[in-house]
Amino acid sequence: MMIEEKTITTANKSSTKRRGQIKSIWFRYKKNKLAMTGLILMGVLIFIAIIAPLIADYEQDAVSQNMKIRLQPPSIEHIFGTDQYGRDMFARIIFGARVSLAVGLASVVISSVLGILIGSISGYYGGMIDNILMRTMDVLLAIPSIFLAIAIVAALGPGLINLLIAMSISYTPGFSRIVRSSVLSVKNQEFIEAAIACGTKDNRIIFKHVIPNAIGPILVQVTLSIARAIIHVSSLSFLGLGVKPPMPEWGSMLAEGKPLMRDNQYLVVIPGIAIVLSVMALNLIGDGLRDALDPRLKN
Amino acid sequence: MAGKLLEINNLNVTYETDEAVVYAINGLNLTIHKGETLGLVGETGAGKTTTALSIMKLLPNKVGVIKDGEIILDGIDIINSAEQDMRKIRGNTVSMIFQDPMTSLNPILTIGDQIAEVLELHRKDMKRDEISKRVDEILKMVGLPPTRKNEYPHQFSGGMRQRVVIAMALVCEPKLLLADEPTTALDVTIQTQVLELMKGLKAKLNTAMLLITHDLGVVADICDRVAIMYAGKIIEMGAIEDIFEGKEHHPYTEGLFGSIPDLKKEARRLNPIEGLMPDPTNLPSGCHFHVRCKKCMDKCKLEEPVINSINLDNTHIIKCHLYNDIHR
Amino acid sequence: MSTPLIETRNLKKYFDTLEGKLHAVDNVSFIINKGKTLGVVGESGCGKSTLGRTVLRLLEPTDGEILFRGENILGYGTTQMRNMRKKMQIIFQDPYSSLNPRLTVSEIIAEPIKVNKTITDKIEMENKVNEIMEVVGLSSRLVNAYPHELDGGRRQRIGIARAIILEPEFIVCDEPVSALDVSIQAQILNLMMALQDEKAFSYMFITHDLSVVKHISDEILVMYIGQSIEKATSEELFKNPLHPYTQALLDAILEPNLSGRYKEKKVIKGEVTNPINPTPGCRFAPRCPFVKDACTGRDLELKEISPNHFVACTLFD
Repeated sequence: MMIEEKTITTANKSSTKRRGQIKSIWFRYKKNKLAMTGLILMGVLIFIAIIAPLIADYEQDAVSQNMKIRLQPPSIEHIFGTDQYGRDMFARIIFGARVSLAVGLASVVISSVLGILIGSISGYYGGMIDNILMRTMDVLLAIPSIFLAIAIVAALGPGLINLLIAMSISYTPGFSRIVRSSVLSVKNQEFIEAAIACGTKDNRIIFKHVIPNAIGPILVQVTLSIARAIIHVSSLSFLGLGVKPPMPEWGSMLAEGKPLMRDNQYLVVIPGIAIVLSVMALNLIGDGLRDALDPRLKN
Repeated sequence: MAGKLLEINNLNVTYETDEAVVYAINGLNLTIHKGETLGLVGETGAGKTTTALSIMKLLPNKVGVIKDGEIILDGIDIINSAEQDMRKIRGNTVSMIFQDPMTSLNPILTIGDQIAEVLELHRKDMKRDEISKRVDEILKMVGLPPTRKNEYPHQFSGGMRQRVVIAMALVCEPKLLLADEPTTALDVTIQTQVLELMKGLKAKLNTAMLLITHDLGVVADICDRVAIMYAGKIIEMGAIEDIFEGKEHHPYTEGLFGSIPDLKKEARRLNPIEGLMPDPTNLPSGCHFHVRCKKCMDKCKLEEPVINSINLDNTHIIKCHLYNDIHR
Repeated sequence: MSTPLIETRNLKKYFDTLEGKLHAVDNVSFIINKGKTLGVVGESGCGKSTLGRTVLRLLEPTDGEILFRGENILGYGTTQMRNMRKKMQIIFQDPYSSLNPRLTVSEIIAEPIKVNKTITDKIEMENKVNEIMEVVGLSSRLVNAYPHELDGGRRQRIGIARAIILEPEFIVCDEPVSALDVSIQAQILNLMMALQDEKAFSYMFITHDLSVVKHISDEILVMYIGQSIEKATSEELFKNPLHPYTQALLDAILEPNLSGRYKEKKVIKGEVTNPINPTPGCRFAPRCPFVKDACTGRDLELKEISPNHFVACTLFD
């Protein structure tokens, strides 16, 4: 669409069409119905996770065992039923949401920040620094992230913080690679040369000029990674390497429900749907973001 | 004067996106006769490339819309032709060469294959060895050794690649060649080579040409007639002598000439046209040029000018209120 | 004779490539005095852009000297060089990639001040930016606009504003109007010449467009595949081109009038080649209609043939 873009940019912009880039992206995102569905769904999930303590009581409903009401199928009192220890499934789901979403989000935030730093320094300076950093990243990348996480958790012991550390380390190499290649192409643009010509110091060039222009490609990857992280949290907890019981978490709920799956399907189906919904929402957001960032790809 | 080959009447083309409607061509009238070269001059955004793409019916799918008008090429109604008919016309009756020789060629096919492809599409009657001979022939015609036909585009320089593009465009001997800034990306000494080549081929094959350019020097060198385009319409058109030696001109044309540094004169300051091209989503009222025109009158703001004929044989026309009363 | 503002002596810039050493700039010497413009012309691959960047030490020279007011800047350390950059600036060719798309117009223009801390007071900085915007003809309501909203001409004005805000003495202009429409080119050229009149900038004006270079330059240096082949005042070069390549260049100019239309064109055959591991001698020899044995074998030097008119050609030995 070179022709169209050229005619618009030669125009005299006296009109109020002064949209910042972010507004244009939001404008395009809003029009994508699926993307908006994802965004709304995610919004609802996050909202419920935040107000969880207002809806149910952690100690009473989600954690303490009450064998008298065990294995009750969904009813008006317990809308998702109770598990084999008499704990309210609904309460466990919404408190579990906190763990899954928080750990998922936090691990991606940490690893993307680390990835941006490593990728930028690697890409901008090149040479020996690039070699050392990227080969280290390669070693980590050679191991599938789930196994890497398992290995680290196995070494550090189960628990929320260790889970967070393990996942952050396993996602960093992927981000650093993406950022590095983005930085490589930004670095050759003339405005970087212009900054050097003014006498700008390296750290300002990297933080003010390079990084803001290089993180575009990572945005979509971040959203999709959160989806992957939620599945990883669940998987690790399912394997017993995640949160310690009785802390509710969707994956460990799957593990606990598995032996009783034949007669009490809801024990497994409900946490399963929760995982599917959040992952689907994030994927829709990620796709919508990608299309909004580069509308040419859609046509 | 030779017969009409291309006739465009009242063409209106828009680009429609979610954000805005761009009025790219607004009532364009153009004629090209057999064997003649018409220069289409204008700056970025005037609508020159859109004109060429409209003739080829290659406007971007769904976004580019031919709203009105007619395009008759060699008796064929282009606007109402189906896509499968257009495919027979493109490369055969009308060909196009684009500005950037670096990106017009397929990097993974040899140049021989790319030229042969054009023949295979349009000359189903030719056998393989006939096609191969013809490829050699056309390569020689454009000044490239046929022994290099199995090489890839990246092995050639910019000027040579442009020759390959010209070979592809002319191999089926089209009646009309659309050349969109064919030498703008080339060095000036290479430009001379390519223009001389095009002149020679044109004469030999009697091909008519629509040469799109912003370079008045190129126009003076190779064109027979000139049309000057602004904001989607032709505002002045005439024979080469009318435009370069005539006294009457559209103020925009005068401005274009005034913007070019003159090698003979010692002017300290150039005389550029003030302001910028108008916003094609929001064109000015009346004459689209009135905002920038030094000779703007009240009438210009309200009424669109009609086409005024400057000379007796109607070969030189100017769309400007200044010439409404010019005596014939 | 006062010290020239900029002087280069036998400046060389070679690049290492897989096929060998690329001689992008080979033994170029020139002088630019205060308030004057040196035009550097040549076709693609002649090394003019590399020359511009090497003079500013955006690329490190392989050999030779660069003198600013008589002092060799190649000896300067990082801090000294950073200081030096306030006096030597650059305007780029591409108005699209030379501006950071994430910064507003005022942020781009203010960058040099922020980086060099020449003004620290916010209000004063704002005033300076507004002042410069007015000088280059940018409307003040564009302060918070982004580059992608503006056309090529306006963007180039931003590039110029950024280059002059530190009040440099020397500006390398790398094809600053080549990417612009003809009428915008004229506006920008007028602006640059007005600025030179007012602030006595020295320009090194790099371009392939001969009519533009004649208009703006006092002296012109013609380059071919890394070598300087002719140097003269603007008027003299066009009146009396000596080197066969210069003649071919001038012949190839198509003027906007019908005088050249029916003349036979002198077409020089061949193409510009890549200067990788070149053999000593004139690099134009393979295409030159006047080539002799003496043209290859040893590199030629610029020789003064008439007052202030230099050529590197065996025709004038």
